[in-house]
Amino acid sequence: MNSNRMKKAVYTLLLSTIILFSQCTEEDNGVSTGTVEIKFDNVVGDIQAGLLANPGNEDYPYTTVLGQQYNLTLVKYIVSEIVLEGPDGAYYADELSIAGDDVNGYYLIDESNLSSQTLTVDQIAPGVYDQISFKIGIEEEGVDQGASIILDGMFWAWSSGYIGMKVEGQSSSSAGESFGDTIEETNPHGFGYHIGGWKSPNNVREVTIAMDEIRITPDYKPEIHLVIDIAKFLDGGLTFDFSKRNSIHDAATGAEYADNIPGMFRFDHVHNNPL
Amino acid sequence: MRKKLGFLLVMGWLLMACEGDKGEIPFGFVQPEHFPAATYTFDNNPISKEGFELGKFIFNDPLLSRDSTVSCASCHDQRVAFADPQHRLSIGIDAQIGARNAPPIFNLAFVNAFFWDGGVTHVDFIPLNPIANPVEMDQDIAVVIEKMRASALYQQKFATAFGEGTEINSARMLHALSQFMVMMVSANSSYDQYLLEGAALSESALRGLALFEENCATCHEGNLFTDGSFRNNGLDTEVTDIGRYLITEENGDLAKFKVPSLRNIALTAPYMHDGRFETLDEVLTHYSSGVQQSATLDPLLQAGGILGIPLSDAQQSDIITFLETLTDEEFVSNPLFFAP
Repeated sequence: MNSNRMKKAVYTLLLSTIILFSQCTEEDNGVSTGTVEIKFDNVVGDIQAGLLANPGNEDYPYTTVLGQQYNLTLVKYIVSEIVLEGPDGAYYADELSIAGDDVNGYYLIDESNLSSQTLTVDQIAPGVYDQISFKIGIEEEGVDQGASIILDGMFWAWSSGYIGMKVEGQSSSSAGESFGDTIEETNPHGFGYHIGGWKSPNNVREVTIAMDEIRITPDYKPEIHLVIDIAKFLDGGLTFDFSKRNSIHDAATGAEYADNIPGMFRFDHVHNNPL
Repeated sequence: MRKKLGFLLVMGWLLMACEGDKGEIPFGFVQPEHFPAATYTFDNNPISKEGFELGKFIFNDPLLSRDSTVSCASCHDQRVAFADPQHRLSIGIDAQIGARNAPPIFNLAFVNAFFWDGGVTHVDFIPLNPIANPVEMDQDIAVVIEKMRASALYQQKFATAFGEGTEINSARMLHALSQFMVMMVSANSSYDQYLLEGAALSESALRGLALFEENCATCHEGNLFTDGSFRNNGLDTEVTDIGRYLITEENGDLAKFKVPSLRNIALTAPYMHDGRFETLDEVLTHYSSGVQQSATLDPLLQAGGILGIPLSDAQQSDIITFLETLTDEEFVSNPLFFAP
């Protein structure tokens, strides 16, 4: 038998074995799994849509607790390590892989891309769940896997690691010379805040949210709606002062502001939709 | 169940038979037996001849730079173990001068800290730095990918390396470069032949080896000749380059730099993070009588209140003779790494 035919034979056998095994798993468990959709709805205070302005736009629709007016030109963050838990011990941890094109369990939410704001998570064991948790950013285990397709635009090269959250915009209180993806240094009122770092300090933050019950069965596809208030990032804890610091592009400076992140996320409602 | 076991048995037998049939050494990474185990994530980026060749092509292509004048090979020359033979500080785009001496490239698969400050912890992320650095290639990675997508040659090369119909993206480009770079293993110097096969070393080299083990091997440890730590080796009394502090932002890391490997060291002049010493003589003179006191000076260089490591001229000369046995002629002349 020549080596090509030999390989083909091996592959065929391998394939049949895999098929047999996977059938076996389902039969053994005797259960099927369910799916949930998670919607990340970004808002600024009461404003729910049209959050972003173009660079150069000098209308400032939002105001911080310091009375500083601002707009937003970019909002992006990475959600990872989603875990669902229930009152009766139901537990689901989203499977993680991050290597080249093979990225599971790491999600980029981009305010300028509607489809990025709804995640579909599947293969969840049936049961009742009333808590969701996840992280904003990517921990060391993910960084250690090397190149992946989600490093584009959410990565620091010089101190290599993923950026967990980017918030950029313009404020009449900013004296300019900031920078970011949408903010040029020549922008007279720009601000650019990038929160990254996984080691010293580690600025990956965990978010845990209690929610109404969702019922996972093969016949239902529940939806979880979360609301993320970008204003809370800027003044929900340690308040940003655009006149004093309009750029963050390193882990140490971002550390104290990273603690604002969990307060941005809140539960809104669920739908227990039959399929 | 019995049926499945049967399948597995047949499969195992077929696989073994397959291996036996080949008769030629497959292309891939070979772990030197006297090195620590490779830590590169080969499972995420399996090495193939085609991927390696694509990586080599990219390494030599000035397309990576904003005006297509600078390639990786501009500052990393195989003849000197992929260091920069010409410049104390490398010359980038628009003839701009870099901040630090270009390090050689070899044995990347075994370590997890790259560049003088160790800011990069995975081989895949190395190229992002010279590509984006305004004084090196000064180009957004997204533009590199656009240029490659627009090139029929690159479309064909990515298809050959990663399969027909695969998209050109930054992860694949970085994987290809890593395949080329992790294959750069230097493990066959005269010293390795002495160590593994009992080949002869000169009397002077043997005296140098003994002195080296006594005085240098705590930091330049093991068969990679580095302990992977960051240290201040007493170049200046004042901080002229913050070094590791850039990454950790801890005062104790000011002016500390990665302990470099000493393999191929005779080829990779000039020396130190800023290339201030042109010869190994100068380096040995520094350690013997030139170490400067400063806040973060390494404790090993001020043991017993004495600055540096006092060595006679004859001892320094023997150590240099030993260091010259770390040159790997096979590596620097291996056609596998020649520009395409």
